[in-house]
Amino acid sequence: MSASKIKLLLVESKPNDADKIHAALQEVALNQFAITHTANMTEAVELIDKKQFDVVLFDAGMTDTRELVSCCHLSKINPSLPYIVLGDEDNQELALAAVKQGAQDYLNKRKATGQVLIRVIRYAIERKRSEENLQTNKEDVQQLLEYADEGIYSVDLEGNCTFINPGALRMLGYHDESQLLGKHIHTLIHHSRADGSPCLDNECRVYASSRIGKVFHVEDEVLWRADGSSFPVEYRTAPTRVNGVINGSVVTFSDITQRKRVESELKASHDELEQRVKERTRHLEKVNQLLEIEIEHRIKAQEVLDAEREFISTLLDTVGALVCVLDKEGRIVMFNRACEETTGYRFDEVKGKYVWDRFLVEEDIEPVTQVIRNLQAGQFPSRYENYWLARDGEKRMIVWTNTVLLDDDEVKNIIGTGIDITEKRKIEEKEKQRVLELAHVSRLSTMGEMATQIAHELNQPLSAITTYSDACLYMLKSMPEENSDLLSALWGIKQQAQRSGEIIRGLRNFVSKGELQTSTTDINTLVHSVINLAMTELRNNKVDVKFSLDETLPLIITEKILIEQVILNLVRNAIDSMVEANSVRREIHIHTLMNKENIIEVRIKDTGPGLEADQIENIFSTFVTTKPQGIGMGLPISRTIIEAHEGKLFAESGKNTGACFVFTLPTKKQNE
Amino acid sequence: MQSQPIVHIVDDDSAIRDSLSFLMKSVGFESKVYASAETFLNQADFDKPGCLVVDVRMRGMSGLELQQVLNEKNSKLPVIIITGHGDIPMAVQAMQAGAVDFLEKPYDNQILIARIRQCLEEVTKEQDKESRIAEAKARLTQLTPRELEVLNLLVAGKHNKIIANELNISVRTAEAHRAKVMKKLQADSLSDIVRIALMR
Repeated sequence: MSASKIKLLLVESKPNDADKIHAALQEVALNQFAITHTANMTEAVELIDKKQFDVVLFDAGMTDTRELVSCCHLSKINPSLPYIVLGDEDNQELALAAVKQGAQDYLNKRKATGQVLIRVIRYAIERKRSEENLQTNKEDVQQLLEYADEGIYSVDLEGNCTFINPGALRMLGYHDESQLLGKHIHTLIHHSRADGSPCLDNECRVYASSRIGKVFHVEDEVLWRADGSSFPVEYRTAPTRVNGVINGSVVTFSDITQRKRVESELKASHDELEQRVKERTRHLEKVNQLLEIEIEHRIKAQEVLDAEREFISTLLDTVGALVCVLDKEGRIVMFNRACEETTGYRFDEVKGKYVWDRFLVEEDIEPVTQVIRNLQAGQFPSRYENYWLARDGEKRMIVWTNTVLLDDDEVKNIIGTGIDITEKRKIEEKEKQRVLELAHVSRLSTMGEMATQIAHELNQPLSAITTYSDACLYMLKSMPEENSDLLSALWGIKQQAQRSGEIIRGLRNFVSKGELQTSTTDINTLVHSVINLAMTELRNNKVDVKFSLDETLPLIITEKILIEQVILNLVRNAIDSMVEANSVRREIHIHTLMNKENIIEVRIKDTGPGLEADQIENIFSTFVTTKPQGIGMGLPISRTIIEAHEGKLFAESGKNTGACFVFTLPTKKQNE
Repeated sequence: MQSQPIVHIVDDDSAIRDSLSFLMKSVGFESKVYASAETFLNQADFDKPGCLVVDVRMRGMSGLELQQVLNEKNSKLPVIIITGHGDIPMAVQAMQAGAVDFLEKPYDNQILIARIRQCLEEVTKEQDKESRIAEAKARLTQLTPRELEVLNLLVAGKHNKIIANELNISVRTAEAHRAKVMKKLQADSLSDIVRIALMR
């Protein structure tokens, strides 16, 4: 539109107004318009008839309302032309009348600026154009509906027919659309199914379509004609919408009587064919089955034969058990693969050898030969457990089941079937160990409960002791004369009470929860603080302590109070053992070092009587004690503490060198 | 006029009770001990100045419950709660319920004393303030209407001359009134007068 000029016809009787409109349009966009002006109605009609205009501006004021009627006349001359009525004043009635009679718009020419004028003209042209398009579309659709082969009808939300095309009327046997329009069409044409059963409203998919906004495609229903007969249909139904709101549904259907007939004929012939194929197949299958069974039988028979043959040859080699056959003298005549694997000897290496020469350990020779003698005497089968020596010198524990092969009542061969139970024994040992450990753990948890209980019971009095001593200290300090002895004694009481509290708390936390409250410390500092604690005991029992402490040791992460407790425990054990044995030389040597494995090692050695080998084994068991007054809890707890620190605690002892207890602690670096 | 504040100690362990009472005595605090929260509620005059040290875990009513009862009674008694080691939830609850402090077992007695002292000082300060206000009010009632007028003008920052002028009296009379006011209020200076006047 911007390319070519808009051809405008201005029908205006007043020259002033015509000029004004002209000026207004010129002002804004004159060269967009080609304006033709006439002041005469008759001329206007002629012009419209002759010339092609895009739009007509028509002054309402030039005539009375009677003349306005002639607008209809204008629009009939060229109905596709948009025209705009110009008014002198704001006359709503005039505008309404004009628009009713086909004007696109009404404009007050006193108020209209060039901009408004142009906009109104543009809109009028546009609107007219789309109206025209719409009309054309409508007509196209109408034609389509009229001449379509398919039946088409639509219903509103109540199910009343709002439209039906001639195709539908024809198929349904109606001669006039008025017979169905506005009627509840379902009850007329869709009331029942092919078998005569009713098709209720709420089952009808035409309604469902508008109800739930879905498209349905149906092929198994019938529609009913006016004469009461029915025909099979295929129909599609879809919701119709106005401004997006569903207002009903539309149905397109076609009579598929013909198709159905063809289909059923096809199906019949197809079924017959299929039936014949099936019969044939069944027959073949039967024959085939018989054949297969026969083949299977043959294969099986062959397999059994093969298996039996192979069984004998491979059994001895594939069984996990050791199978060894001796002649009546005790020489090896058969030695299976399991024997080879267990002993490390090949059969050809031991063939003909006496079994006791090669495999038996010395202490087993006598009993085993006795077993063989018993077998020879007819005492079979029998069981016996003994070691076999493997090539690498390892002893394997074998459980043998022995029997004999007789030949005319005489022993021909001795057959031994054995199972290597070495690993099983080891596992059993481990299991036993684990059970012991579990018992230990459960004892520990009992100890934990005890510790918690004791801690709770002791904490209150300890806290009271601390408070009493604090109070005494305050009082003593406020006294005019200073009594330093009393002060330091009270200070000591307080310190020891607090320390007891800490030990109990540490132990309880540790034993009950297995938790450590660690901090970074230097092991030598711990050693010194323990010796300070034990000083009185050491002095009273005339025990000397000698240190060789490596001052360059790295820091460790530990629960200080617990490690101190371990050291104290070991030191006390040392004192006790020397006092108990009445040792003349009483020394404790404490040695800290970095061992070969790069782990900190603490060695606490005494000059007491030392430990016997079996004591070293047992001393860490709970409730085992060498002390007359001991309860045997110290060392097990100590070991548990050290193990919780990922270290080890063990004892060493040589004759006449005293006991040496050693524990290791990972350094800070290893822990991180 | 002022009474010595009392440290109330509630603990169900007699040794703890006794040792704490001894400790209080050693630092010069007056204390009273109770074996249970119930006994405390029955026997203690908790409207009087003081503070309460209570163990959170006790047989019968717990420390927290006692705190609640005191809150319901609108008691202003500051409460120090003693909780078990690592019993953070209890401590938090106690603080939320308005405890002035909590101490985790094992606590240092020195810290306990410091906390109690702090509590008592605040209580005393509060008490002092209240009694000072009461005294000031009492003194002010002794002034004659004329003297009150003079006082108001003094507080407003007026000189004797202006006071005399405004009250239509001689400067000498104004001075005499002023001296009377100072004597009655036991004030040493003008700033004393202002302070007392502001307490009204």
